[in-house]
Amino acid sequence: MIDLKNLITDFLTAIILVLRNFVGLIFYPYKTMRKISLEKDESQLLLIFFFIFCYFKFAYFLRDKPYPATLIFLIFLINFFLTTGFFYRFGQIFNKKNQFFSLVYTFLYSIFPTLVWFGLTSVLYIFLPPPRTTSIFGISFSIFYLALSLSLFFWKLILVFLALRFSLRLSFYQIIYLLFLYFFWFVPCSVFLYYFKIFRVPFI
Amino acid sequence: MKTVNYSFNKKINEIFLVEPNELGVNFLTNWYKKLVRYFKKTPFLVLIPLSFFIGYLLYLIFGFLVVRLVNLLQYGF
Repeated sequence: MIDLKNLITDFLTAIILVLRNFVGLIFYPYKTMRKISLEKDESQLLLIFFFIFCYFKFAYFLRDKPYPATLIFLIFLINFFLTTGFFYRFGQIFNKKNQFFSLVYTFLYSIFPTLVWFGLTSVLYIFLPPPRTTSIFGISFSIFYLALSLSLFFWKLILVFLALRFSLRLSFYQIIYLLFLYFFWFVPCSVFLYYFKIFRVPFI
Repeated sequence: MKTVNYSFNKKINEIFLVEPNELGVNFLTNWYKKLVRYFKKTPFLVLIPLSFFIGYLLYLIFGFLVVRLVNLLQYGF
């Protein structure tokens, strides 16, 4: 029989740990990602997947002619596990001791900047819906929005780099080489997702 | 005492999880280490001004194309 009390305690603990790691990734990305790569608690993974699913549910009401949120989530899961599988397999060329679970863990945490960007874009879509104009306010907002997107993108790059560094234990050049290889798979995949209007900006 | 030793060993193992990065040439390794220092702790202190600078630079170079790019991105969720 499932102990409900333990289940609730586990869930609340996972929320606290995820939030703590999230704050850690903002202020101390190196130290936090190193710690995350050694974690073994599955409930945190489930909770992050749940957050992502909630986002897709929320975006469903904003999108024009949307696919069901569950389908989008399934496509995200396939894309996510293909990506981690790609890095795991190619990472084994350089280091055979790496662990798949650790990579899933760190990679899922590196989804945070993506989730923040998509969340912010959705909220801005409600309060300041496009199109932007070429007035002074339109240009100012455009520069602000671009700066916001760029800082989240750089944060994302840092987290992906650290995820590969700590989970696959690779050197700088090996990581750059893997990212270069991934690019050849990522671009056609993103075009495919865009063409079928699943993701205009790839959610990974 | 055993707990202190265990925590200490755990911390040491965590710190030495990966070997330090060597880029082959001393000059490059030194620059890499100097640069990476800013991204290990509170990276947003560097990233936010840098992003605003790049955003403004893009506007100066591409002009109103930046507004069109933002329009595209705002539909991108």
